[in-house]
Amino acid sequence: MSDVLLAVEDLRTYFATEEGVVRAVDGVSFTIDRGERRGVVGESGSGKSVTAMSIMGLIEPPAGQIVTGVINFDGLNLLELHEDEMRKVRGGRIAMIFQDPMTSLNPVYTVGQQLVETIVLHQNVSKSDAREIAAQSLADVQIPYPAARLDDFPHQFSGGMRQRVMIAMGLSCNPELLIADEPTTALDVTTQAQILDLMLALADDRGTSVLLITHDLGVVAGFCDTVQVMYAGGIVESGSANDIFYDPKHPYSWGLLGSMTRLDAAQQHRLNSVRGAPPSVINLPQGCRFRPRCDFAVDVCQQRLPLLGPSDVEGHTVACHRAAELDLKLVTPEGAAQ
Amino acid sequence: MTTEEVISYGTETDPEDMPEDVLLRVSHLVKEFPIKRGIFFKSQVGAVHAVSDISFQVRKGETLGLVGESGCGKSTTARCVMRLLEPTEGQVYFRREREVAAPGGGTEIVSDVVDIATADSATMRALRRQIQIVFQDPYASLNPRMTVASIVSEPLIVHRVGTAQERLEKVKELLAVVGLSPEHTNRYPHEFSGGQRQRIGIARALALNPRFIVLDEPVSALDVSIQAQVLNLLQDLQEEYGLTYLFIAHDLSVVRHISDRVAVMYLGKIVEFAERDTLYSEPMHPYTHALLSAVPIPDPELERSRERIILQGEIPSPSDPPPGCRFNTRCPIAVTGKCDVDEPLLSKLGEGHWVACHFPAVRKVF
Repeated sequence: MSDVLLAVEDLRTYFATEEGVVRAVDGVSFTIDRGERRGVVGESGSGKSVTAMSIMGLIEPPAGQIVTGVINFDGLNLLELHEDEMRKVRGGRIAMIFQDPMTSLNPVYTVGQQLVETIVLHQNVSKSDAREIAAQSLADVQIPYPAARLDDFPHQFSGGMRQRVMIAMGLSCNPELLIADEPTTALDVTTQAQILDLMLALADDRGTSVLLITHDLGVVAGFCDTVQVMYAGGIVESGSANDIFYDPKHPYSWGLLGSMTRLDAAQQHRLNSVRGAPPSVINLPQGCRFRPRCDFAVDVCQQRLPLLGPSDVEGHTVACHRAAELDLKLVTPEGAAQ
Repeated sequence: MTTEEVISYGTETDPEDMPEDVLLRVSHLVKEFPIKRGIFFKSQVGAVHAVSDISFQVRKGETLGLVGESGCGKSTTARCVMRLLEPTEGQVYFRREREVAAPGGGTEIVSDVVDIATADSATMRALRRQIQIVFQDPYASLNPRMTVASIVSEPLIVHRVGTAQERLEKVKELLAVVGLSPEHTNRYPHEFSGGQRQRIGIARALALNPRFIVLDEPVSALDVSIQAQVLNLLQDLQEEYGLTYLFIAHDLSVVRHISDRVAVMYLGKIVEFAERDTLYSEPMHPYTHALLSAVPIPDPELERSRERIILQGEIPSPSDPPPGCRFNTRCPIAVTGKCDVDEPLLSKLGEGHWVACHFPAVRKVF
């Protein structure tokens, strides 16, 4: 049963800078089903956040431009919507949570005012009803004394509580898709566990689809059903969480997993790091973008950019010329259990 | 457990009994920051208790990991050890090595113990050749107007080492050691990526051939693949030069990877201290349990089946720490009348395993 909620096809988002054109997202295609929790992983500059901003219609011309692509959300091509129509979708049917809750909340308005504003904009309710919905949504994210705390300003909340407010705001209109861009990166690990727990329970309860953007593979492992790995503006591998973690087929995903220090690793082994650094997105290398850092590169890798294609596993796609012949199995469930 | 077995940690304060293999001994370290009110007539109305009476030792050649969440006092501890902050109370003993004239002519190396917390400026200046620090943010800790050569050679100039030509040679050698090209000497920090800048910071720290390096969140700002490169480099350098590290981080997986022994801090106190593998496989403090169970592991099956201990509430303010055990307000096993009254001491509960809890118990968290 597949019930596609969002389909992104050949999205290309470029930015004009003084040094040249930054191809931040360059030919990205993926889908999200209803109720699916999809993780987007990759390092800084891989295009994760720009993908999210493009879906939300937050790319501001003339600096940034969506050059080509289709973003089909439940039958609507978001890229062709008028700004008025897009405003109804944004925050209503698709909500977004950012990394830093302090900069996403307006410091001079109370949390209640900001919640009520969102609710009135997207739901046909009176202000007093909106205030009740706002209090309920703060209660849903387990903020103590929700009705009283509506009158507090953002600075009166701690970092973890502010992120709860952002989640409350995001979910107050019952969106079908929640985009969370590094929602727990700025938080301490015990607070991160609280927030992820909460997001998981709320999304599960409401059947909300989630696109979780993060650099932390551990967070993805616990939260997501499916994962796409991005590198230099493109998706290099996509599949179920188990596919990516136990049977990575792209040398970059494999290298990323080998670079991670693990809490449950008993032996002190040398990390299998990926050499070099990500390329500048202005001067992308010819052929495969990962080639300069890849231990397995051959001649063809320099000549042609590999496209995301099927592998021998259903639903597991990879963009590597040598995917079929390489065996990169790194972690097995048995190996990890030891 | 009988009372005889409870030996409180850090009671030895006499520098004379500091074992030969111990390089650094922090004893009853306290750091408080005054909170002041008023514009003209400032009066102190309280204090932030950043570090409250902590003690630990770092052995020669080992890596001691100091781990905890924001506000636990780990960076303040690092800065007190470096004397970048003046400790309010306590001692920081360091076993220094000095070259002195030998009785039969020539020189010899002798070692003695000095208290960094009270050392005068001339002593400190000499000590800084042996103790160096690498900071978290490779963007903020390098002067953007200085070339790589001047950044890395600055410690050499300050300590009047070598001629200009010798210093340049040393800089090139150091850049090669940390994996940068020696041709990069005339470039500026902005021309380098985050990982490369952190390598420059490490080269600067190595310039004076130190024996002890404080690493304050050295890889937190870096991407995963670059983080792995820098961790590998730090381990190689330690092996090659016999360095001793105090490694401060909030990331428990990184700390497990690099440390020999680990101290867990909460709200200005060390709550648990053990050999690396003991701490991770047999943690005994409820805060360590919660902390370890909160760290995600990149393994989907394991993550889905793991039991997570979710702590309720928030970390209390260090300006008003709770009475008794500082963790009692969030502790899932706290006992009213005991934990909120009596402060638990760091007690020895196993070989090299120290825990500050009234009800310690081993709990597996993964």
